Amino acid sequence: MSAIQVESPLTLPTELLYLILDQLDTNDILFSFRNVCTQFRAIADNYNRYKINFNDAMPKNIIRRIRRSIRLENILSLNFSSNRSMSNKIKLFFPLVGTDQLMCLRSLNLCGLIERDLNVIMHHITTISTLTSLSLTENYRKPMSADTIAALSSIIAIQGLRSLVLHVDISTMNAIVWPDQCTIRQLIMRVCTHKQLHQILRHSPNLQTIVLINCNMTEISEVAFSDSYIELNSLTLDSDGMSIDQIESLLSLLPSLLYLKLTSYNASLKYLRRFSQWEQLIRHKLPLLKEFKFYIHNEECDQAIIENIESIIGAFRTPFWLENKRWFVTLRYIYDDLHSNIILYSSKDSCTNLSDHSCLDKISYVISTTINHNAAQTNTLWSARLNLAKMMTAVPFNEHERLIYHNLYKITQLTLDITDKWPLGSLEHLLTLINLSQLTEIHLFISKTHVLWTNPIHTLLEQAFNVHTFGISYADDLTPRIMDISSMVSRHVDHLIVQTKNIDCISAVLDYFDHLSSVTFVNLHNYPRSWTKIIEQVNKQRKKCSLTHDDKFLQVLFDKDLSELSKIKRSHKRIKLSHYQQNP
Amino acid sequence: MAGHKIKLQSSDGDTFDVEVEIAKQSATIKTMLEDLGMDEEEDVIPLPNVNSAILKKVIQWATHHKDDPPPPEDDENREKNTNDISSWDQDFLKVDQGTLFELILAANYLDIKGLLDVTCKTVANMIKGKTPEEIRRTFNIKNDFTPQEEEQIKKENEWCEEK
Repeated sequence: MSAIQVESPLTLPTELLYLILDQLDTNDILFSFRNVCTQFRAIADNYNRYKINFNDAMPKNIIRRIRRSIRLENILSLNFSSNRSMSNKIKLFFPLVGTDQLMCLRSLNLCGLIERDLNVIMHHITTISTLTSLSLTENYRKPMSADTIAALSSIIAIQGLRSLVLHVDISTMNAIVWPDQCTIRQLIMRVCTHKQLHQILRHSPNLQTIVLINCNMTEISEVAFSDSYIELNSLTLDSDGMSIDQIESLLSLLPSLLYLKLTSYNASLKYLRRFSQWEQLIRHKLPLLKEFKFYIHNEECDQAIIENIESIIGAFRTPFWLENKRWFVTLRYIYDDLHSNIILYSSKDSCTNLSDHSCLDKISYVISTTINHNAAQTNTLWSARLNLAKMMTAVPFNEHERLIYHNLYKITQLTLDITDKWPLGSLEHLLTLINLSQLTEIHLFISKTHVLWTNPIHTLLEQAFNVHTFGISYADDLTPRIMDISSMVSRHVDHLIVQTKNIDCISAVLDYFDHLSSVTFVNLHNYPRSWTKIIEQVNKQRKKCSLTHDDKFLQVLFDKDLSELSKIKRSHKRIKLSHYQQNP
Repeated sequence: MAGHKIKLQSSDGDTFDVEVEIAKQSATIKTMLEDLGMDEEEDVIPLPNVNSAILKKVIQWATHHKDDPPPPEDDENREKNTNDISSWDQDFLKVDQGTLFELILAANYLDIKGLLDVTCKTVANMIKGKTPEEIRRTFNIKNDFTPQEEEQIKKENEWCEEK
């Protein structure tokens, strides 16, 4: 027997019904839930967390109804979103409202409003002392008036304001009068200059989090950063407008940072090289930093970089990065005729990820730092994704390409894009570049149906005898081919990845692959789909297995030692699926 | 300690061995373990508000979500989104209404934010876009408005339809 029997929402405590109402739109609460029964009506009348969204699509009669049905002191949040005049709607709501009745209003969100509407709302809000959060996205067609900016400055000065989001242009930012003692704790800004950042940091003693989407430091003010800002513990910085010297200068004044996210989509080689030496900076200037995420993209990649690619990643292979901080780093090098890019980014764990780029590239390497307790091996994992047809068009290689393809001998994971028929002589050529015996994973992305199972693929798998993970994505239904594939895949392969959600294909895989530890079925669709029917089918065919799934994959772990299963489950969930999720 | 287990006892007396890390997704249990210094495998944590069937479901949910990052702090500004329920959770919550409501109570009592969120979203999805009559049918609720109250509701609607 249950301690408490609950058969109806009517018997749920009010605070739990409030949690359910938190998930509903105001319309659903007022016009449906409230009219179900007397108890629901009383709950809706007393519910004090209404979030009201005004937008172009909201008819006036709904505003009237809201005004009649909701006590103003029960409104927690007001959102206005429009790029056309909302004057009539605003008048319907505000004239009858003494702003003192909005005594619980905590959050105001203004998005794209025209100047006149913005001005009216701002002036209503300046006296509301309960406000803790303001988000303003400017309508960039016309600058904000001095009067509106003055009202905005007054709101920013409200004692108790905690969160401020300002998507405004640089002239508006310049005109805001920042209060001497600003109480905000979180600030998100679209633009900011060196001088403004300095001013904000100086006058916001409680500021803990800054997200700066576009920091424009090209105009360096005479005011230099000097004090340390010890309250700030979280910084997200898109640093495209800053030099590496400026970033280092700013960070050196933030000794309490716990979280740092740094992005640069147009980093210079100097930036990249200096960044790879940040161990000392972090040790001495950011001693408390716990979480460090970064994404640094360089498009100037030249031959010297390619020759020394390992020295860049090598800087992140020290005990400080791998053991003390457990921060893993991935370097992706993408080469095609038109592009030669390096992207350096923080990886969540020691996984490789080849999925974020198109299979149209000639070749891309992913080099990741990883914990490797075997002292004889390096802490670097090399993977490559290769478009065979494009590779063959480049043969014989010029000096630049020779350098690029030369690194193939280091890889342990190989992904092949086969976009046309299997290119003549490509296998033989591949065998001169790759040490097949050191491959542990092979993945095939085959987009032409007639080249599915040919001798070169057979030979490749036969000679790569240490491969334990094999994955396949095929342009057509794989079901008729599963028997052939199973006969050719080595018994050493213990994990299979198949991109399909066809129940017949899944059934065939379970029938023909009986030696595997696990198999993962990947669902390409970007929307969640239920695996229920497939799970039923798997359970029918394989009694001794455990299953785990998410929107993107279903993994079947066959009867093995439980602790081992748990390890497989974790690593496969993390590592293997990344290849498949973003392919067409 | 990895793999270390504790015993949870349901209201009807059944005990369940659960890994500490899984059990600690419940802030209630985490506090109990810390405050009472319960770290022996023999120690039993009584959960008088949760029956065996529900506790089993809660453990199943917590086991599946044991590697999830901690849920974000409550944020008044966060957009309502009841469409982000994972397919696993959707399948997990295909239960009768009584079980669903008991899961809400259990998640609240055990203070498991992720489970409370997803169960409340599931109930919200059962209300969303429905008329009052459809909601009554969904939850088997009797319309107890008096004729006068019905008339009042009708008037409210009519008044609001006026330009």
